[in-house]
Amino acid sequence: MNKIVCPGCNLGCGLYMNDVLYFRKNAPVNSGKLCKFGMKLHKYEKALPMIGGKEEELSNVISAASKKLAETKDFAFVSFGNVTCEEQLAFTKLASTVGSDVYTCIPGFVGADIEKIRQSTEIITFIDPYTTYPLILRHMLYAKENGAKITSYYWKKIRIADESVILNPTEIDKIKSIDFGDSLVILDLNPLNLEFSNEIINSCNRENIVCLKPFLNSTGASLLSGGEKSIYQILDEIKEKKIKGLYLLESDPRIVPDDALLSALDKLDVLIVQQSAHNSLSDRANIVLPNDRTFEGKGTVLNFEGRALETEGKTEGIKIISEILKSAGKEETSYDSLHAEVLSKLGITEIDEYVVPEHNLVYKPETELKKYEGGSHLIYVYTPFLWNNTIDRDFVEISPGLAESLNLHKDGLLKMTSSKGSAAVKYKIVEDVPDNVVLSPMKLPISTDVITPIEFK
Amino acid sequence: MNIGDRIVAWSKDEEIKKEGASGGLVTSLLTAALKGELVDEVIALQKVSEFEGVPIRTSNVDEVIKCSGSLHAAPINLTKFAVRFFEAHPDGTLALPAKPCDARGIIEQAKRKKINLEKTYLIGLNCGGTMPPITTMKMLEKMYEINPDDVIEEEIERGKLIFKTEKEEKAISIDELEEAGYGRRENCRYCETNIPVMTDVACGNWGAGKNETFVEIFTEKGLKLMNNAIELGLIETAPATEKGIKIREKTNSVMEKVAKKWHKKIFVPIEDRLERFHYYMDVMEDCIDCEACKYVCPVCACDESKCIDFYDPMDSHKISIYHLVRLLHISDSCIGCGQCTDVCPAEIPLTILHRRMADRIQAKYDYIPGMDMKIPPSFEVE
Amino acid sequence: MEEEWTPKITLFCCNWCSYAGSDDAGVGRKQQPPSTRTIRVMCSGRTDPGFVLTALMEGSDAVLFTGCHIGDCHYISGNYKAKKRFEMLKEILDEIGLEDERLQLQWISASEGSEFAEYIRKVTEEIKAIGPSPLRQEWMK
Repeated sequence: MNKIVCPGCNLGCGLYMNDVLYFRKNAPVNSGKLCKFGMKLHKYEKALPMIGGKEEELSNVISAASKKLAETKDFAFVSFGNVTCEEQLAFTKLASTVGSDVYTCIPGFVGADIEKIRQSTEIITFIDPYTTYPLILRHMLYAKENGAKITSYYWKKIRIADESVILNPTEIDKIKSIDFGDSLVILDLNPLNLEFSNEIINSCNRENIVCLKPFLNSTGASLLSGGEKSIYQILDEIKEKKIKGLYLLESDPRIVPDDALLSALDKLDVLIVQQSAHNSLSDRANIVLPNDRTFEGKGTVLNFEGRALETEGKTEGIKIISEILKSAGKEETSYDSLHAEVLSKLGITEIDEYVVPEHNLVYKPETELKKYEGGSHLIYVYTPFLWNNTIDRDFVEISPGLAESLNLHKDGLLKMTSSKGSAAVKYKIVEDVPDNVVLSPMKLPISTDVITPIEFK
Repeated sequence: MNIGDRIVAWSKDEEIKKEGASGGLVTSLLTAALKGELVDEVIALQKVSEFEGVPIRTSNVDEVIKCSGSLHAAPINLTKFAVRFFEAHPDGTLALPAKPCDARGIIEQAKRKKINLEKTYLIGLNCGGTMPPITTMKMLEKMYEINPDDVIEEEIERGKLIFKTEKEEKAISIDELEEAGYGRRENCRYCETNIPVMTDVACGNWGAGKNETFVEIFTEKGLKLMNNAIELGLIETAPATEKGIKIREKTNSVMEKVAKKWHKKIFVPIEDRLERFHYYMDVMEDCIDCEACKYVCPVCACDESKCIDFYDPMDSHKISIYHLVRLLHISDSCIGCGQCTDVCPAEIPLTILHRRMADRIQAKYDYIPGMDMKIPPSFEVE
Repeated sequence: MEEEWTPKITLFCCNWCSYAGSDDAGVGRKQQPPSTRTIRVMCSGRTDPGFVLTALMEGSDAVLFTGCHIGDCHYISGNYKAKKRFEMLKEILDEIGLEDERLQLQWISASEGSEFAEYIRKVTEEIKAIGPSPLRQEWMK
């Protein structure tokens, strides 16, 4: 049986993978506690090597990819960190052959470890631990039992919080006046909330932040690669023809709330994707290279605490990248040499060690917090599990007051219209959500951003 | 040898004898069952460390030998692994070591036609309780002042928990450990089934000498298991001594008494109706709808789960129907194995909730689950 | 003046006896309070515990199981099954702290129209006395 890390919250709940999934009761991070997402991992359709939509021999595809890399100028490399540190490092080497770096779209901020949650007396949280990072909940409960005061700032009431400050897009400035003091801050840092998290990181003591991140190895990837661009900037530059070729390693730009932005991908001269799953992105690519499934790669993974975890499995992805390096006339690379280099780069000597916390947020989003006028808003309350296709919540959350004012009945649909059109969706009634807010855990086709102004008609 | 016999036995293989607990009998019985073609596969707990075991299903004798040794701090239930075996090989035969809760889970599944008990050889293990691995590691550091990585052997003997390292051996009484919040898992403390009388043979070190195992044979299958191993020359036996039998009985009755005391302490009745209502509301409030408790439950046997049939994450109910249906649905079969509490990421004391309900139902219908195949599941109506 | 609160009672009727009984009550113009919502099932044995729990969670103040008298079941043993389920449900509802009155079982034959009306009157009074179900969300109407 292989030790694996679930790409959901990447805390490392201690899964084993064989023909069936099993879990480690003595997993160092999680003591054998489980959430359902990891258990659903093995449902995937594997991507096959392809050129121009046609299946090809892997060696042909590799040489085609390396040819394209040599031909095309202004190539961008993107890897969110859905691969092991070793593969990320190999990818960074590949990018450097054309004088580029790898963009991870998430800054390399490494905060405090979860033990700090347990020892805190005051906690300020900006997440919904029940759905976004469920494995954090246990530690918050522990702290609460020991007398910690939990204050939550979120779009709805969080049950565990002693005090829930309910945010509203129309008064988003509220977060600027929070008195953080010495409180521990639990924050989610992901490609879509950079402005929001930047605002918070800049106004509290950075050593007190437990910084949650999505994807398998966001932390490791962002420490090993230096590219500093947000996913929006990359799409913009493609549109402006500043980027002509794009190589995506297990990274799906379809996470952006506005699907219209993805039309930029059509402007590319060449799109190479290397990923395990077959999906509409691999259908769209000029060249498709296979990869180990996110949870099947062998190597080192850093969880959001900055703790190095070991995963066991295959090294197919690394071999492919190494082959491309070889056919480009560069030095080949192997798992063993990569592994040694990863450890020295991260400054650790063995698995289970923590890397030194990194509090410099070099990465600066261009924009300030957006302002929203009055009216109603649809908020995309994404969870990392959704991005890994392991959550199936196809409904939005609204307040009882809104349901009453729209005269909605059970099993009815909520109709919403934005500048992009209309949608009718199932809904759940949740107390303590503002009446002008609709929370959607899934990306709706009418969304134009994380927060979309809407009308109910 | 006859059914009902009580003997002591040990492995003839020196290596197994050394690695395995109490003379390595269980490992030898498993290897013998494979070698003598009594079974197609065996399930065993592969030791990763003193605090972790991974259940494996194998027909390879060498792999089984690697699995020897007792793991008190790897509280795993093997029932679902047996269910999976029969899903894959409906006509296959299987042997596995079974603590009382494994055996009871297997019998409940057999009643629901998920396991063919006639083709399952249950090698029972006497059990005084298992320990949660992470807490145990902490306990070693605090109470024993031993580095968990140095432990080479652990054992429970005469109410004391013993840990051995290369250099030393330390014993502390379980009562003392449990006072300090360590020791056995909560559900093991109040478990009254210590000798698995529902299996084919019950093995244990109570009443046995050093490097031997006390065995009681319960069934025809058990007899077959033992004779097979003797014929293959893998084990040796001797009659149990009168003194040994007495010690075993006494240990068992002491354990039962302690369990009853714990039961009383943990299951304090909540007399007030409203208080009960708020207790259930509060305790289930933090559920994150992950269904992990269902995934690990050894007695849960629906093909299409009843508990999620009426449950929709879209509902905004005060108490989750998922849990209520589950409480109802396994109230007759809950064996109190503690897997659901172990796995819950929101720290809901699920085993206690299930036992509260199950105690009522099982007392009402005078039904103890997992003891034998005679009584059908209590839901059955004539 | 504030309107008097009427409880909402979910009533499961079997097709052969109790539904006919409730029909008989209607035809005979027997006075009964407008508190019940009737769900016709083919047999009381069809009443899944999940139905009862869902009804309670969705805002019913009480749930009534009704069916043919023991021995009269159209499908021979359906009402035995109903009885067993009722007993188990009773235990769980008591365990989670719900009042005894909120779940009741009554055998009603096709000709017992007046008994039926009387029974509904009695139950409605009982539920009125104990008030709304604690399981009902405040915003549920």
